[in-house]
Formats: sequence, C-alpha cells, structure tokens
Amino acid sequence: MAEFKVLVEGYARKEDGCSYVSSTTTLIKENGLNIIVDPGMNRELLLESLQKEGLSTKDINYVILTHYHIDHSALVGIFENAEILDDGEIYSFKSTIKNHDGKIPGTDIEIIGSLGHAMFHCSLIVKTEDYGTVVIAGDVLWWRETEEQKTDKKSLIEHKDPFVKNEEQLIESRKKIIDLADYIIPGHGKMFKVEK
Amino acid sequence: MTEIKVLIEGYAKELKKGWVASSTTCLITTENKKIITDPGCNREKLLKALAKEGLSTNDINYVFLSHCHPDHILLAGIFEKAKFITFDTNLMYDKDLMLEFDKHVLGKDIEIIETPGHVLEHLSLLVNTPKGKIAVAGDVLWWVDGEDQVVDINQKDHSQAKGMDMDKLIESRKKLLKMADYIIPGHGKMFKVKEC
Repeated sequence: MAEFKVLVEGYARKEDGCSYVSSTTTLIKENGLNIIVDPGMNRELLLESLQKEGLSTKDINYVILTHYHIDHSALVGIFENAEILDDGEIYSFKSTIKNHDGKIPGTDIEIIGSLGHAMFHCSLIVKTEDYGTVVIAGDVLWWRETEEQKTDKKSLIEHKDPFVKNEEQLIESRKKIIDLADYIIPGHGKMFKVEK
Repeated sequence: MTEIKVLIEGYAKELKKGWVASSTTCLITTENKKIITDPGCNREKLLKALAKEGLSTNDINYVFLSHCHPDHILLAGIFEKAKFITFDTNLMYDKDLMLEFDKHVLGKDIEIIETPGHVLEHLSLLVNTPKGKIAVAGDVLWWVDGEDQVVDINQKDHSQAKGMDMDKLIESRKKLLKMADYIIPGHGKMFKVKEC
C-alpha cells in the first residue's frame, strides 16, 4: 500500500490582471521509494514542502509527469537522482530513454493513458489504506480558483477545459478515472471524494 | 553584439532497447542577457559545459524551449532565476506568473518564429550575429548519430511523434532555410545553408 501527500495544491488564479499558475504536486511513498508527481512551477513552495517532509531533492527516486505543459513539468530537473516517467517511457538524466511496463518500477502504482487535455497525458492509480484508490489525474480535471468544484459525475464529465486538445478523448479519460477512483487529485484544485 | 555558442551538440542513438538522446543546447549572449536553448537531459554534460563558460545555473536569464519533448526540456528547472519561453500555447513564465511574449522579447537581434510540424507546437529562433543569421531549429531538422547530414526538406521525421504534420514540417524547413545563413539542428552538427 502506498502513502501519499499533496505537497502543493495546484492553482490557476488571476490577481490584478496577472495569471499565476502551478500544478498540484503529490508525494507518494511506497516500498521505501519516494515519488513526485508533477513538480510544477513554484520552486519556493515545492522546496518548502519537501523540507517539511524531511526530504531533499536528492531523496526522490522517480518523478512522474502527467504531461509536458510547463506549469506541470518545469521543475523536474532539480531532482538529481530521479528517473522520469511519462505515459510510455522512462528517462534518466544521463539521456537514456526506454519504455516502461505501465507501473512505476518497484511499486504497484499504475500509469494509465488519459488523453484529451494534451497530446500526451497519463494519470496514476494509487492504492492506499486510508483513501482506497486514489487517482492522480493531472489535467484530466482542473479548476480555476474562481470556479466552484462541482464533483457530481455529470458535472465532472461536462466540466469545461478551455485548453482541451480532443474533447472526445477527454470525456473518455474522465469516465475512466471516475469509475476507478475513490478519491481524485486534480491538476489544479482540491482533492475530492468521488460520489458512487 | 549577439553571440551564439553550441554548448552541447545534440545526439540521438538507437540502442537495442530504447534510445540515448539529448538535444543541442546553445548559449546566446545578447544585450546583457544570457539565454539557454533546449537544456536537454544530460545533466553532467550541461553542468560541465556551463562551468567551462565560467557560468553557474544562476547566471541564466532565459531558457528557451523549442518544444515539449523530454529530451529537450527535462533540465530546464535547474536554472533558478530564468524565465521560461515555451511552446505551451506560446506563453512565457516568470516563476508561476504567466505572460504573453512578443517575438523580440529576447532582444532586437533575436526573433522567435513558429515552426510547427515535428509537433504542433514548435518554436525556433533566428539570431542575428556578426557571422550571419543563425537559426536554432529545434527538431525542424535533426539527424540520428552516424547518418549523413544531407539537407532534404522531404526527409522523414525519425520520431513520428504524436502531433507530427509532414506538410507543416516541410513548410517550416523551407522557412528556416530561406531565412538563415546557418542552421543549428536539434540533434546533429551546425551547418551552412547552401544557396540554391
């Protein structure tokens, strides 16, 4: 079983006409491995929250990028000992690229394709003791700070994504993760319980 | 005066399982700004190359990312003070602040140009130097290791990534070949454009 913690709650907000954005960053621990999902753009918040967990950037074994939009991926380079996984491949900072087999190595955490928001996109299925199945969704679901987070099934499926690349795929991805999850961690916004 | 230097010549070599690949990384110096293009994914090489220039990661003002492929962008986050210029719906980021950019945001000698094809969202730079106009092409043009570097606008794109569009790629290649005296490819050696 995995343990997890949302280190940075992702946001997309406007202040005085300026837009500020960074993704949700989640820490997962399983079998002695430290895993970061979507390091985001906010260096200060990320480093502070790692420190609170008693971790340094060197302690992270894997970084998962749900997709390559820079508000999710910019800081991946600071984890000097990590390998990086996306929807299909595993990369090292020695410039090697290989396929992965759908799981984070050494764990039971599944990486599933969840296209629609971007050309490449994946989400994670994490089995936990306290929260059951947690899906770390990336931008399959995300909200602006001014939007109400309606989490009934219909609202989730119909929620508007202004940056959608493929609407049909996005809806399929949403249905898939809603079926799988007890809790969902969105790319920007608060973790929520899925109504069954 | 604006200068451009290839810090790392990009490479791409297919192995029995997977690849070893990292992008060409350049350092551009202009109007008291220092710009890194496509930092790639080979940490040791990048840090060595910076040290050789007498630079630390703190000295870089901008990181330009031609497109969203991991072999070009994974190390972007090591530049603590840099603003990021990206493919990502053509936005610039200063930490978590999202800004629109103008094609001359990097200086009067540097033009940011859209060059879609290898992927939908792809940017290149045209840099006006005493040596002539030099294009930082990203993967508009690139070669695998050992391949003859023949410039053929119809050449197949080795990666066939999602979002590849051959017609647009050919247009982008034509555009760069017309505008530039020299071209720095995403993987491979800088070359002089022949008059045709």
